[in-house]
Amino acid sequence: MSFRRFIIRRLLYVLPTMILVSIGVFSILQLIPGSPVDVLLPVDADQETRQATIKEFGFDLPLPLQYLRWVSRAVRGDLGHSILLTKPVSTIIAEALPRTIYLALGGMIISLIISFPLGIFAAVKRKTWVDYTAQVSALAGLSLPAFWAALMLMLLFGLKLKWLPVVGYVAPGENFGGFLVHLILPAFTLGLEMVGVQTRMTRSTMLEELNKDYVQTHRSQGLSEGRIVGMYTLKNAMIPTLTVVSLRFAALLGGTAVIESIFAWPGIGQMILNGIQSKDYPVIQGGVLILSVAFIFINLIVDILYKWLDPRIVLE
Amino acid sequence: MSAGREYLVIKDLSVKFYLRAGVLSAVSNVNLTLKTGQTLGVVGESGCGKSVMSRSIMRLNPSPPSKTSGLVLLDGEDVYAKSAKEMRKIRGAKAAMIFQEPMTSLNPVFTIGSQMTAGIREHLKLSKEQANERAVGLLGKVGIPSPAERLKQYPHELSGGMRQRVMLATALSCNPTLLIADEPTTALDVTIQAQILDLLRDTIQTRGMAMILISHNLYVVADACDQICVMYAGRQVELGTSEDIFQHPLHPYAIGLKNSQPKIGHKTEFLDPIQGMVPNMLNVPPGCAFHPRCDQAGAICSTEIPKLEEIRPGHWVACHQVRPQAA
Amino acid sequence: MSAPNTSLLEAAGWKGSAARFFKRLGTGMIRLSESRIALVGLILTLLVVVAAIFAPVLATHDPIKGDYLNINGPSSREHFLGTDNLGRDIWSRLVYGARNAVLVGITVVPAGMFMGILLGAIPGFYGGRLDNIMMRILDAWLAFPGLILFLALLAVLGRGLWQTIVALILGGTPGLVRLTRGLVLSERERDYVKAAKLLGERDLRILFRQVIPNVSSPLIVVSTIRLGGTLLIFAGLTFLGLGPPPPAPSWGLMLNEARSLMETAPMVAVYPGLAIFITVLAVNLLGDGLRDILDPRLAEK
Repeated sequence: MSFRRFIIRRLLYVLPTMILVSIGVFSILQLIPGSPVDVLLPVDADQETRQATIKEFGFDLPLPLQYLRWVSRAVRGDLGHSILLTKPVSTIIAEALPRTIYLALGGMIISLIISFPLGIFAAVKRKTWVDYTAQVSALAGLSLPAFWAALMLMLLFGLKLKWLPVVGYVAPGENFGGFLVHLILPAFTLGLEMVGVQTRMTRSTMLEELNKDYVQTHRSQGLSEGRIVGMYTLKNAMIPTLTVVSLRFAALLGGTAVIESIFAWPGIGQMILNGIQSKDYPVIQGGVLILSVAFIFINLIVDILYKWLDPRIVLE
Repeated sequence: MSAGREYLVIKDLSVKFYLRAGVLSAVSNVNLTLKTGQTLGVVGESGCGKSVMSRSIMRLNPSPPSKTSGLVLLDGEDVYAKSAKEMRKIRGAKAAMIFQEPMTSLNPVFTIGSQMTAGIREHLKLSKEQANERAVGLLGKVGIPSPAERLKQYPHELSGGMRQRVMLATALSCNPTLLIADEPTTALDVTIQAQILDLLRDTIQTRGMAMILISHNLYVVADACDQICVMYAGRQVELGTSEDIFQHPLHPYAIGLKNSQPKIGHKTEFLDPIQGMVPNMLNVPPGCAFHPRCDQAGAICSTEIPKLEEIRPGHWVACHQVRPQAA
Repeated sequence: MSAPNTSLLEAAGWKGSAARFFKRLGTGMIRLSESRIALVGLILTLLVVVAAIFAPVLATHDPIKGDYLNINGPSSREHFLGTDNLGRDIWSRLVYGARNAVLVGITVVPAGMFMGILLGAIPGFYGGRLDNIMMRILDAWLAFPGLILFLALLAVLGRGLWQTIVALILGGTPGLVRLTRGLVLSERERDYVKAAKLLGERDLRILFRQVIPNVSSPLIVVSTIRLGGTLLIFAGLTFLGLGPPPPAPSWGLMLNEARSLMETAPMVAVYPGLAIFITVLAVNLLGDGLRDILDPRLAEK
């Protein structure tokens, strides 16, 4: 099968999942106790407004039709209007999504910078103090509540040492320096969350690879240990690691809510949270939908990328 | 076979593995000498220490769990006195090794070319183009068709026999004098086996190299080598010319080995296996390790470890029950 | 390695395999004491459980009542860890907060295993259409990234302790279901299953009497390991203001309340976070230890 056909096949496979996801998101509004109209309108709204709203949103239509209506609009980019902010949801998302992506990328990069060398080092120097330290810190990192770490970091760097700003966001377009400075603490906290898992993963993948036969062949060729580990073994270990890292990134997009809340970073997580606090259901639905779709797509891309990278994969 | 200069000298080599389960003596008191132009076959069942011993020539045994004692002289130089950097100069350039499983012994995510030229560029300091040229030439010499295209291919695109040839070409690429072949044909089809063995023999002859061939099959080794060393439970039990050992094996184990292995072209109703099982290397029987399985064992066999004695000129046996004969 | 259940011909009843399982657990417990990691984890976990159970005894003050004359007090003889911004004793609140953690543990873990078997083992064993449908549902379920799933669930369910626990179960299930399904799939191909089928045993019987006891070890191990993450999510949700409403003493909520005090009384923020950290660490250590004992296959994951 050619690569192109493989891609198409994967895309088709994703479709039922997307449909199920959209049904799930749509149901959020329906599952809330009480009729959706009551949710959207204030309690004292008069009959006229209620009728108008029902007509507008189509609540008088049978459920499947309502769903189709919603989906057809969503596909075209119309996710409704925010109750609170009276802006179209898609606009709000368009503003918030990039900010979350910056944060997620920043966190990912920081986490990789720490976990990669640590994991590789721990694998190479197996059963030495380096290894044990790495494993212990990985475990500690896993157990650390992110928001607590955030608060502690804020305390240390923001309040006590006053090196970094504690909250807020500056757009990169406006002031790149300011952007970076504001990005550091939240991204670092996010990264800390992931370092534990990634160090472990890198370590175990490298260990597995280092035990393989070809490493012995390379040694018998007289290649230096540094090259063997850093180039010949690493490339093998990279393939599964990269997949996992990309998948984590996808999951990360959804997991930024807490950090965003603490550091007042106005991303999608914050948006959804605010939506929940204020019962702004169009916003909630829009946000969840976008994130889930993004997740599915990133998974798809990772899948394809993996097949493309590993020369051994034969596309049947 | 006209022998040249002494290239490999192994004196009293012992390799111990310190494991959580105990101390494993993989190799005990092995003595060998190999000259250029000579081929030595090392035979024994799995776990007898032949691979560990061969790896210790190039110091490829992982050093935290293993400890090596004894002397290994390669071209007159003490291998175990070398620094890591010096060791790297030796590996591939003075001695090279090919391994049993060609699929897993080649790096799956690098092209054949890049794997071959890695060593070439390291030892011979050639440019990329020169190294590639050299690789192509070598691939041709080991009998691979369209060698230039192969450089860009990945190991999984080649058949088992071809991969083994690639391994051989890689091993030869920096002109080593000693080639160690650890069960090079075991994972291959029988028809390919013969081809590879012929290739090995020709290569050694043409280049005046020395070779150690390891196998569990006595027939393979008898066919391809001038000298044979039979190992059991980490020790040498018989050593001599392949003709001697093959025609008249003297050690009970070697005799059993010859009788138990199927000979191609020879029909038989029953195979004649050696009684009992290979000992657990963590718990080797006292005295002669073979004595529980030996039908000639005597009282002394369970208490004293037999030493290698020259029973006939050039034919050494480590057995209490075998006495020296007149020539 | 878990040995396969070899009691085919005797068709040992559920008692037999359960007894064997507990025996294995028993020897496992003995081996647990050999692993320092697991031991530390076990002790810490037990400490938390004890704190939760004996909260009324261990607490020095009423966790809800505030002493308005003593706001943000430092640790003193009377208030072991000081007081928070409403004058409530922090130590007592921590100790009562342990109850949430224990509640989450004893509900989410068994519920997850149950769901895993129900939704994962059964479709996995039978295969076919049922399995396909389940996989698609799982994919969709898992498509809701991380915290968002819980937030969405809570948006529907509302806040409160039980709502949060339900959300945790619902959110954590798909992962376990996938795992159980995978395990059952590989067990299905094993010889003892095929032999049982040949002997004419009914499918359901094979599943429950033979296969499930064999997958229970890895299932327990993974459930325990996941508990750590579940507790973290729980703390996160309470931190965000979902979950049991104030003045309930949940650790996450305590952290949130401490945010405004960061400059004036930072220690108020340190203790609840420390409690969360220690508890999660304990559970993780225990899970690692259990894994090393019950199923080394999963090691190095």
